[in-house]
Amino acid sequence: MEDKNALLKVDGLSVHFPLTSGFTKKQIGYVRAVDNVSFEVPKGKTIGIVGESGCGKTTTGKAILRMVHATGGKVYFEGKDLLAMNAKEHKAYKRKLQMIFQDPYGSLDPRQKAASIIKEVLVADGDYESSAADARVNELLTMVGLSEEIGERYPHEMSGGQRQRVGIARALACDPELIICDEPVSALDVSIQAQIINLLSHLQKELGLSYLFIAHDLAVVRHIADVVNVMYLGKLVEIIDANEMYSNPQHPYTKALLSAIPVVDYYAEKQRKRIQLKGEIPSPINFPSGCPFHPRCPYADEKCKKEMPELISTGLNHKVACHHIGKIN
Amino acid sequence: MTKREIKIRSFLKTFYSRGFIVYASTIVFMIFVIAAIFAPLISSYDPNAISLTESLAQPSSAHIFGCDLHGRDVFTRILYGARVSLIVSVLSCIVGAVLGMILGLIAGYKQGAIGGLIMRYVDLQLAIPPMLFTIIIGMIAGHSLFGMVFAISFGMLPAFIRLMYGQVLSLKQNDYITALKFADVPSWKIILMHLLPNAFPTMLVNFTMNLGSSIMLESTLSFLGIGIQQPTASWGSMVSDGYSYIFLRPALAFVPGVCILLLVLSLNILGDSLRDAIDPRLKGKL
Repeated sequence: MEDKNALLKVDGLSVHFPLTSGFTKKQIGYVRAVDNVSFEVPKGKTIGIVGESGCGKTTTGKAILRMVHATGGKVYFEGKDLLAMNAKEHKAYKRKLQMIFQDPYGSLDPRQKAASIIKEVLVADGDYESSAADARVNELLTMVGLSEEIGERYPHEMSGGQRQRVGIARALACDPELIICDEPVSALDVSIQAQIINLLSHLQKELGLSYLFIAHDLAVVRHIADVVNVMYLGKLVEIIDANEMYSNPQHPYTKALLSAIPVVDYYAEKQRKRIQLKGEIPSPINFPSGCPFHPRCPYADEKCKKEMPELISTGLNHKVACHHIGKIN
Repeated sequence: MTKREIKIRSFLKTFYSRGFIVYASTIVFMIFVIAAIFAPLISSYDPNAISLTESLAQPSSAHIFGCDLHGRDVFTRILYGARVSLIVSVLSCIVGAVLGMILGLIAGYKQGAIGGLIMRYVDLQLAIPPMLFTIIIGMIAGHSLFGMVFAISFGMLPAFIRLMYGQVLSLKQNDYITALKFADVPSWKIILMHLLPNAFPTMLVNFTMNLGSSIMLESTLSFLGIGIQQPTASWGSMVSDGYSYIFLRPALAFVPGVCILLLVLSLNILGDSLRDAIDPRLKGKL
């Protein structure tokens, strides 16, 4: 990945929530929700972020959109630092970054018809007249595979998949360049998941969109993403090409995640070697010293307890943060 | 059938889905409204005309509920009392609800210093017993109709602000509000088009519930002698006047009392039904 192609470049992004106690609001520590995360989203590509619940995937996405306050780092969009902008400067970039939400129920106003939901976003920047906007709304509905009649329905009259399509159409109404998909399919049936994923890939080809695809389902991520970022406890532990993910994972955490995917075939399932991680994900308040993964890592030694490993490039589109690269298989 | 007709039909269907009790409440409420509007046509008596020869007259064909101590026709005074009750309660609820919703919206949406100030004021007022508060304000504002409206609406303000504040805080967390912010939709649009309509059903129920309780409050104040001044008829003062003769002429206290009960009850039931009918998520489920 070269800098020139990067639409979005996240550099050392940190989100630390202060922990206060008592009436005086004395700071007693902080939650490292996202800690020194760097990655790039090239134009027209999909970058996946995977990790357990609570590892900071969603917070990363929200920090890029300035919905939560980032305590450190820079987010370059088309070469400009979004986090350093004041509200006025940010306004020009706001609509270029959009989000698709996880919950198709909470993401649509229950009192608004689908067409009106899309239209409201469409006319917000004042580029459209009412009649032209109506035509564009129908165009957007068709684009996401909905018929025009669905525009007349309220959210509670639609299925989960239809709602998610309306959510996608709303994001597209802003003519975005980057869409942050925050687990867009995890609340849907498996059959609907595939439809939405295919729709997203189709739209990407047609409109040249870039996606930051946040998910916890590796199979889904591998299907849609070009590069997968594996996150653990607010840190990136591995950046890997999606095609290589199954064949050449290097970080023990990635290996453990992959080994947890069930296999349909009975004999393959019997032969499958499972890496079972001990214990729970540590609290981001009592951050472990050294490598964040060392309390659960089967390969951890003294060095892992003391030193935080850096992300080291080990191949094309492949970076790993581990002291034991190459030593473990 | 046009779309509008379908809409009205489904509204009415949900509204009356609780059955008999809602029909009864509607009828009771309508009777009181009609009585209040057409009071001079229904009764030919003057509500304030004193006729000492008919003092404490028994119910008869001329005076169906009898006469009070000063010989005034109780039935007529009930009709005119309905005017006072309805005007005071509706006006004070409107004033309280509108002010409360505006302040609650500001406090909830902006939070920060302004929000903190509004909510601390609410805490302050809630620390004073509401009845005491209303009595004090009522005494300051005077014994007029508008004085009562002012006192009652002021007293119910904290409830409206708090409810709206809570609603806005929870609605604000919804992804659809976040999406609108990402799309750069202006704040006033988010507030007026999304936060307000979504908070509205809850506020409406609170409004109708408060209609009932402000009738109660008005009656209580009149009962205590702080409300509308004599000789203007008010149900509360009628109960207060009549209860000294509760064994001699039970109708004097009971009739206005029952009127208060019926009106408050019917308003509460109508409020609940309205909530059911307005919420699209409940459509077809009741």
